[in-house]
Amino acid sequence: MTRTDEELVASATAGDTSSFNELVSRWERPIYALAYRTLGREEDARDVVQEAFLRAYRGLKGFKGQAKFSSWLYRITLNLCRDWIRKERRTPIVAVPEGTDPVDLADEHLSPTESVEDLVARREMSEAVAKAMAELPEEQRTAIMLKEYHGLTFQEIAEMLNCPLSTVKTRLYQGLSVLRRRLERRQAEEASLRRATWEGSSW
Amino acid sequence: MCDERERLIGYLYEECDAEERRQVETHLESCPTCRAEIGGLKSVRTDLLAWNVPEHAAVWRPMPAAAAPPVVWWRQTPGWALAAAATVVLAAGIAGGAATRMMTPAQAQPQIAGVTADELSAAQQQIVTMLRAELDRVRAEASAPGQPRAELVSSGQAAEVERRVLERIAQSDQRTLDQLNGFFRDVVSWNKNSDQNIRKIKQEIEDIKASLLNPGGGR
Repeated sequence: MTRTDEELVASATAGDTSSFNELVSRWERPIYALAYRTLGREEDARDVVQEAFLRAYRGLKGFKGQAKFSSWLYRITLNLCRDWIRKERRTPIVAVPEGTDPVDLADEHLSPTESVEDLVARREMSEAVAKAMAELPEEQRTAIMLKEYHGLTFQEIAEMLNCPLSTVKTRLYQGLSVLRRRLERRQAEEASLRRATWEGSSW
Repeated sequence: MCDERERLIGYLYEECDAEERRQVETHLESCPTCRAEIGGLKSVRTDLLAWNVPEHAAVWRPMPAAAAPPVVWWRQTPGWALAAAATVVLAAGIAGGAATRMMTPAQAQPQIAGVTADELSAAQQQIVTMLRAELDRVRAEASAPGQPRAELVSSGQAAEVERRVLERIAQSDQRTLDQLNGFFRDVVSWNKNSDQNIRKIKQEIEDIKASLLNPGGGR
């Protein structure tokens, strides 16, 4: 039977390292995703994830279960990311994935219905979203990430960010509205570029 | 636009009760602006799905099941043993400080100071390591079956531990003093050598000057 996070935390606190290992394997992926999307660089994300789990391990005895284990872990990770950004004195960077060459992309896993062109478009969209998110104010970006990619409730986000529920909703609304404008502008620019290319080639 | 932001967000993420949901839907039927707004927000949410995280190898290396949790050692040490250790460390600290003051000549203090801190820190580390090993041994004995802790204390083993710890500290102190003496000798010898070198260089400069001023003079 699968043990709950709370059960695993209890045995890990009592010294059972395998329980902590299980918690890590359960949460490493989302924690990495949060760190990667916040920092934009794989090696930074790895360092933060490692530090986050180390802190969680050391702090297990102090974790009284007042929040969910995952919320506690997210909070540790976000604090580490914030420190990291402050230390580096920079805004999150947009990591450009390697292999945007269609020939390279063709070697990647394509779903049976996906063409190379679709994959290129998906990659470009991923980059565009990353760029637009990196330009958002930190509090809007964090709220959107926790909601969209980690499925937290408004209440959980409010508790984690220590702000009223209505503030969370406002941040989400404002952030999504800005993203919408930026992504629509990008799509309009691309459409006009395609039109210009098509008209140029028809001569 | 209507002042429906909060309610629209609740509706968008389906985090509203049935009544609120019904109210928003009614409003959307009569308000084209909010209808367009909610359509746009839904479309952004779809776009956000495109943001992938690259595949990555596991970051955390699982800890071996037998590994002891990294607890601070003194939290597991019996109070009486800790008190004994504290007493001997204090005594050693006073004795060590006095010894260091006695063996360091006042005029050589500035040169020694920077290095003695390192040397002392290494020695302190050594003391802590030894203490830890000693206390671990005692702890193991105390938890051994058939030997209750009360019996251990009353049998005078605590005094024996204290004697052994003091002995180890005395040995460590002696080693530190030897190291410091060795270092002091090195500094003195280095000073002597550098004085000789400076004198030699000065002499050479004087020779060159003399040969320049008196080219035909020879030596």
